[in-house]
Amino acid sequence: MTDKKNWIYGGVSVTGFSHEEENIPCQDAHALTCNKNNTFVGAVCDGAGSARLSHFGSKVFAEAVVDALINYPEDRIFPEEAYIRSNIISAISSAQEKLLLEYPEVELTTGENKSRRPSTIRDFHSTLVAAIANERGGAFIHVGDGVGTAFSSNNLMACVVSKPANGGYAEQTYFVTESNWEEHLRIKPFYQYCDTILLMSDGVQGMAMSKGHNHPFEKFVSPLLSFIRDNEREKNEVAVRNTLSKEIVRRSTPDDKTLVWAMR
Amino acid sequence: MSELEIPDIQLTDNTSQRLPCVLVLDGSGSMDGKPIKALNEGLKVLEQELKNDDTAAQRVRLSVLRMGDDDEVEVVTDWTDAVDFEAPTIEANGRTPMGKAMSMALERIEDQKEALRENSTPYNRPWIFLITDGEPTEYDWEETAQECREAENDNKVTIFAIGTEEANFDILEKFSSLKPVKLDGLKFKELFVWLSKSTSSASQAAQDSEVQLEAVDWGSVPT
Repeated sequence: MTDKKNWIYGGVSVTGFSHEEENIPCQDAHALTCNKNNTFVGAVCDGAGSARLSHFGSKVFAEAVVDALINYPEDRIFPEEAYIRSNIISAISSAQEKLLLEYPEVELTTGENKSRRPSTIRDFHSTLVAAIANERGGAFIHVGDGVGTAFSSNNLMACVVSKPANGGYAEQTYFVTESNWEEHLRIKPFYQYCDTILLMSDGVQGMAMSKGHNHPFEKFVSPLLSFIRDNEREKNEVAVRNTLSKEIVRRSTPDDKTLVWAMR
Repeated sequence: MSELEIPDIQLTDNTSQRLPCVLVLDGSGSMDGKPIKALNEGLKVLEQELKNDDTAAQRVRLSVLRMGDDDEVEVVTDWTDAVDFEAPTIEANGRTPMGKAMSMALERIEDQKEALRENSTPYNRPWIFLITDGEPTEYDWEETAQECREAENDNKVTIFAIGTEEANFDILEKFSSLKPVKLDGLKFKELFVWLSKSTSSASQAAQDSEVQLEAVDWGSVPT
């Protein structure tokens, strides 16, 4: 089945309660766009809490991935895993070089003393979950935690899910900045009809997904999609931002939260 | 638009991670009197502190072991989420089978990890708290102490050893890669307030973050 309906899309990154209290910038970032061929591309990156420049890393990596995928040739097989993989590897490598050039130093504060040291790629530690999708299907691109899911809004159970991978404990994960990151790069193509794509950082995945991340959580996703369907992007983003900033969310997670959506 | 929200949305954590934590408590005869009373009061404080902390109440998962009697180890609290934790009363009599207790703690941690994995529940690196006023009373404790350090090296668990002033710190040191901490007097309440806050922080640890523990105001590292 093909469907050329236009995508309605948007996204927000919300500073977590713990970062707000400690005056630390939001380390999540997202990027998203849609081209004239109605191909949607979105990316969510979650910078590591322990990495001093991860807020820059997450932004640059998200933008680099979206730029790398948005010009997917129309005459090419879609989604072609090998093509996506090589494009992502090239984009991440360039983004790593760019980050080290743009942010060559890290400021250190010990008590009242400030000093600087040269930055390393570890200072930009970031996860990645991205998607490319059009009427022919799509693919998730994933390193570390966060979730990507694609489904038809009339049947949440028949979904495609790219689940988080963290290598054991919840406080660990994989980053696009590790020397062996390509070993942890997962490409998950899908060919079924989906009218909705959601991408989320780990701060949202516990609320938006069911236990085990097996499918979207109906009581979160259905009200969300109903609202989004009926409103403009600006209003949607304000409403999602306000909702994810509610005090009750503190019980679920103090972490930064990013949610990107695309519907048609 | 500043008041705009998604109506009727449910904001609950469906995949809440857990921090498994085993308390290995000394219920030997030497704890009788003021020490055991202070320990039990401390456990009640722990219960309240955990329940007052929304995140800890949902995420910390506890089991309590008592060592005592004729070198016996008793499970006084089976695995329970902090929100349902009821402070047990520890009795003081008998000996201190520390090796046997720590061996059981390691075993229970691995069983709990398996259960959480089967249930698709993510978890943090588990903790074991060993709290004693003495030293092991069985002959083969060194083997278990070695297993404890290996488990830490293999990233399976973090072990905290805490002793009252009478404890044998040379021996406690062998059970953990972290320095054992000497409790000031009988500051069990302060210790358990700290434990609650620390488990809360650890259970919220995001990816690749170092767990920032609260400053210790109840003891010191013996030199």
